[in-house]
Amino acid sequence: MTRETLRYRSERGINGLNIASVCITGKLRLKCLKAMCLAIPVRVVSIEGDEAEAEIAGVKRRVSIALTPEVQVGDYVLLHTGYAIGVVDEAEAKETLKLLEEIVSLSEVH
Amino acid sequence: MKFIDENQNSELAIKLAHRIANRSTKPIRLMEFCGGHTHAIMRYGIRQLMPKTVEMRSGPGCPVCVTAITDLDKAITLAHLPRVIITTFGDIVRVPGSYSSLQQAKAEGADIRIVYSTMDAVEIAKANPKKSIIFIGIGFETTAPTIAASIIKAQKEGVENFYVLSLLKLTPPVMKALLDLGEVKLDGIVGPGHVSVIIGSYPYEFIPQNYGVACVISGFEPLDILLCIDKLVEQVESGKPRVEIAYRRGVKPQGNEKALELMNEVFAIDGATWRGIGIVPQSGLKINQKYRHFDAGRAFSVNLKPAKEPKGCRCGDILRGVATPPECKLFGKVCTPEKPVGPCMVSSEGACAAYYQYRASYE
Repeated sequence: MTRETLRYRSERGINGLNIASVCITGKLRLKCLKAMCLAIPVRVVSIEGDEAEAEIAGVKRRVSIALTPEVQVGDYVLLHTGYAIGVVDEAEAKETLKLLEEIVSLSEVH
Repeated sequence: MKFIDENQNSELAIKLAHRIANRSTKPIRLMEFCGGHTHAIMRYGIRQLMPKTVEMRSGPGCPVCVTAITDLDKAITLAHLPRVIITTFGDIVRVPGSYSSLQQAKAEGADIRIVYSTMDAVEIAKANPKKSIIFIGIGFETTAPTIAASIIKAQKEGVENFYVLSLLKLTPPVMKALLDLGEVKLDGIVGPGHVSVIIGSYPYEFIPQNYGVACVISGFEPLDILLCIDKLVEQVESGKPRVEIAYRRGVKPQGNEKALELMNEVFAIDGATWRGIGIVPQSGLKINQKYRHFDAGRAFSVNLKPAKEPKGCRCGDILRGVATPPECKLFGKVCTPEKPVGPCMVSSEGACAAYYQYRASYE
């Protein structure tokens, strides 16, 4: 078995689903940040003018909030190439998970 | 991490996959138009979770991959000009042009710097007032407002040596172009999540209305993608295609109005050349008259030798969804991530690179 296969297997969980978080390890996180259309949720800890300090898994970095002037401290924003491109709607996030659990349990009954 | 971990719940994902399998009776073909989705679908083995009725194709969603070779040649030629610093995002540097690559130009002495953000490029311009800093602006609607914001910032701060070569492209027009081409019959579209954070869901309305094709905007975690496919299957089964958002925590129907305002301030819509597809009307963003002094295409004129596509490379077919990476003769043999022949093998968002990286999942 090559090292690559080993890494591949260890990255995958049961039934081909990855259980480990995409962005947990430093290397993977960096990869997420580099990819062009990817944006990851980061928490805004302070705001100064059109810039904010955001926290990503314990790491802090400066981000521009020029595209999301409505952002408040404590909000999660989608970070893309140094810019917050949108504010994550926590209520919608919860709602979607609730919906998922509902539709899954519904299809189990039938 | 919040908003990531809970959307990777494997138990729920497997149940959702079973639900899709139980509900899907008609054979359907879906296409994703975002490189992030291409990567995630391979990474999480979504294809293998699908019933035989659901076929998934990758479309022109990788920004590096869709960049025309002539545009790449132009960037490489600009890099060789005296007193020029090229700044760009990582992936494009390794893509082979007709005769060279940015990486090769760098080895030959050109000053090429990879930046994480356009803001960094503006900072480089401030630190090097005697040089011209050209940012190679590749990307879709997700990236366009960030580039617009950096141009406005440079304008405000009086940075006169910062230029952008805008190769920015728009997603809905290329969706229309592929649907018009009709080479691959599609039943549903996995709508790009972060493009839609910016543009919202309204620009996709023509897809169900004019083409009868379903369109559901998806996030990038396994549960997001499975929920999207579930909705697409439901739409096709019920015969009622429409635009839906399965990524509500990020996407609002009206999009990000501030970002759209900045894009409109700086750019004008124009035709653009896409690799493998050709010129698609109204599918590109050029810097408008008001900000023309930031336009690298205007400020620097270069003579280009005729472009030459890499021989045997099927990136164009792969970008149109006509072929899958393993159908290319070069794939995994001559063309690997270490020695890529075409752009789809370079970028982590390219279909070839994703297939190669997770190849055990389709073998």
